Amino acid sequence: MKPLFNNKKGDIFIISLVILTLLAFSTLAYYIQVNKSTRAEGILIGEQALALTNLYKETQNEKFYVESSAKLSQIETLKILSENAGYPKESSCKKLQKPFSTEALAIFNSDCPEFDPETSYKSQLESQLKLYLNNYKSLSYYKESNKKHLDEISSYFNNKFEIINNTIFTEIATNNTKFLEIEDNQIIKDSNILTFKPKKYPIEYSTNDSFYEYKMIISLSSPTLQLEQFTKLHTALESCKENMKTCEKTIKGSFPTAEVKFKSEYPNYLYINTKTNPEIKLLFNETNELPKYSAKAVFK
Amino acid sequence: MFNIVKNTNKKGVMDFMLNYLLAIAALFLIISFFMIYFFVLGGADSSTVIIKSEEMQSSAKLINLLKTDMTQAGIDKKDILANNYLELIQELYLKKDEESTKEKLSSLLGPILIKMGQTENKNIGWNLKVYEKTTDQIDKINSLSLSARGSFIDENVIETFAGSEQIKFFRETTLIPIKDAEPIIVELYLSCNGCLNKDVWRYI
Repeated sequence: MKPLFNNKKGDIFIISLVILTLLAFSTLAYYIQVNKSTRAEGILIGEQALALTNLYKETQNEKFYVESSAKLSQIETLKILSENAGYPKESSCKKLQKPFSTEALAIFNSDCPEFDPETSYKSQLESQLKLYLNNYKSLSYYKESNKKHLDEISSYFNNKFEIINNTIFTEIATNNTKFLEIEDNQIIKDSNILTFKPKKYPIEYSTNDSFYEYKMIISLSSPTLQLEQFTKLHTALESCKENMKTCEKTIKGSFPTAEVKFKSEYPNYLYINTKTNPEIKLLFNETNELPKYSAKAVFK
Repeated sequence: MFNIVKNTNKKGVMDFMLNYLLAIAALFLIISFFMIYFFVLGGADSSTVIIKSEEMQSSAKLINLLKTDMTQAGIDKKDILANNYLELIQELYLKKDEESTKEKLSSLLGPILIKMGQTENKNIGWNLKVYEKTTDQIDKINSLSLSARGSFIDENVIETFAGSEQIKFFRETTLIPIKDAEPIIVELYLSCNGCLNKDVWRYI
């Protein structure tokens, strides 16, 4: 009998085929095992996409909150201006308590600062809005089920978080609203446009180098009609201040439903309640001049 | 035994078949082994978790609901207390301790929750909760709540089912400002007793 391996070329081929097949499958199995163990410790599949969608949700929630707060702030601002003769809280006129009303009333005279309803409105609006922005608390959370990953990223949050059932609840986004700054506040045609400075939001909390810059712009209804009430009142008082007895008629000409009255205890003071929106209540002392308009005032 | 082939090199054939059969058998064994390893034993299966679609969070539905003009919701004009549902919740929250508040919330917000559910099944429905978030903990204090169960309104949301905490499907939350107070959380989710994820997708 001839030796087993007589046909050398055929033998070499067939044996090589077997060995290569074995090598190929073994290598494949090895790399799969190696990949499995490294992937288990790394990023979850889809995590980056998840981070982006969650960030989008966070910015939408924030914008909704800022819009709602801006609307509330606008209503409060107009109310404050009406109670302070068209001035913001910080720089209002002197006030007189009683007997005209249970609340203290602003005395609309030259002792008041320069008269500029639009500037007063803008500064008061920004102050009111800031109060709401400081109260914002993000509802964002970062969910991590891999314990090792949890420990790695926890230091990034500087311990400003809570871990409940392997879920990190963080207020990391809260700082973004507290530091939202108004870049511009414009009254244009039918709108009051508030533009905020751009703000950076981290996309993936596990890395420090992925950010999304978002510039918020909010549109409110224009306060022009309301602010014009203040200048209308100023104009009406300007025309009747020489003869206070004619003021009631003059003021009712501009504000038909207005309440105008004198009190014998304070003969020089005229009480005015326009009974409009906003309801402007103030006192005017005839022995004093009206406040002067600011040089920059738009509404005159 | 090897007379099956005539006029051939019998010894060559024997060598060839021996080698050939051995090689084929070896290949067969190798391939079978790895097929069993990969497909039967799951050697190629990854234990890595792929993010589920439920992890994707959104507040779009809730924000749209809050912005909805109440006049478009089919409510009588004389009953409307606010321009939209956001203002309604802000107003009612300030009066949450009054007896009539729950009734107003139920009559004004209930119909739209029922419409969202589109089902007669009383085990399925959208729930709305309004509450404060305390500063350090995630504990919730229910202040206002409403549950649409099929075509009925319940003033209490469903929290448990068969003794365990109920799964909240399509849960959305947002924060809304309140005048002179801390902001409040509004939460909207679908409750479906004994349902699995695949049962609820048509209610999205």
